[in-house]
Amino acid sequence: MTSPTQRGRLEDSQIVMRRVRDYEIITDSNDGPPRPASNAFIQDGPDGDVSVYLGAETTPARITREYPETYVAEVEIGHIRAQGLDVERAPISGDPGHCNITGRKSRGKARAIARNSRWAEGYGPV
Amino acid sequence: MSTATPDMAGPQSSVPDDVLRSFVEKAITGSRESVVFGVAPGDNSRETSSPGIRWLGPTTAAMARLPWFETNLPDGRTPPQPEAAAALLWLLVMALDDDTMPPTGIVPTWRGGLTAAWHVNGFDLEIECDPSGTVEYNFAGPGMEEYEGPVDETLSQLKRHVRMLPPDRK
Repeated sequence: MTSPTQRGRLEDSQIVMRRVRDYEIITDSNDGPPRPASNAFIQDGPDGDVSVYLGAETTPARITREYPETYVAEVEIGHIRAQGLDVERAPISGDPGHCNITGRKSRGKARAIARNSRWAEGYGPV
Repeated sequence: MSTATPDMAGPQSSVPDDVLRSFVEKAITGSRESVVFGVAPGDNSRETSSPGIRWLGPTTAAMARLPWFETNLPDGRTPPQPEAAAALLWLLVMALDDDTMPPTGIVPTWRGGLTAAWHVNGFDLEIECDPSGTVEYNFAGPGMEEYEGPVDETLSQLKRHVRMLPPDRK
């Protein structure tokens, strides 16, 4: 059976998750809490799209199973659309909740998204 | 987009390529020797010749933590390239002429480039060098129009933005 999120436009309130590597973490004002760097939301492939996963359809444990060294950031789709970008479904084998952040990205946009993200519970840096 | 590589430094360049190369090699291999312009420990005669670049040590330490030699990075990612590090260090040496600069974060890009990033008291400065030496940067501050684009050949605009960053008083 097809879930509501598998049809039509994704809702702004939906959460997408993004794997973040330890070298993609930075702090504001040098002593602020660690957050994903802008680079974590700029490019993830030759087409420029950024891979994310719908929070309603997978879990941090699942998306880090093959990459146990990574952390997981969460952000509402509305924050991504506020930057003029969008989130589109791009199912991959074994992960129908995979999506891409699409649109023309810039450092400013990526930074805004990063600042509006939070760490998935239990999957952030200590 | 403009480029800023040691080869194109022209009259502004005061850091010889071989010095930078040695500097980067020591940084990325985690050498226990001093990374201050390749000076060995105990060689105080030269080690004290560069007191004005206090930010350089933390910057190269941050570079040393990157996945330089990993060959199995996920998602088709290219590991950081030494050429990008050399270009970025050259640019920083040229543009950061203030000893009170706060430390920078160093973050690799998907294509093997490097980004130096400052996020201080509402000011954001991010400078990206790709392996070809192409440089772009983004600057944003409270009440200011955001800039995102190439570095001008004289670095004057970048230096002006750098000077707007609140200094590190530690």
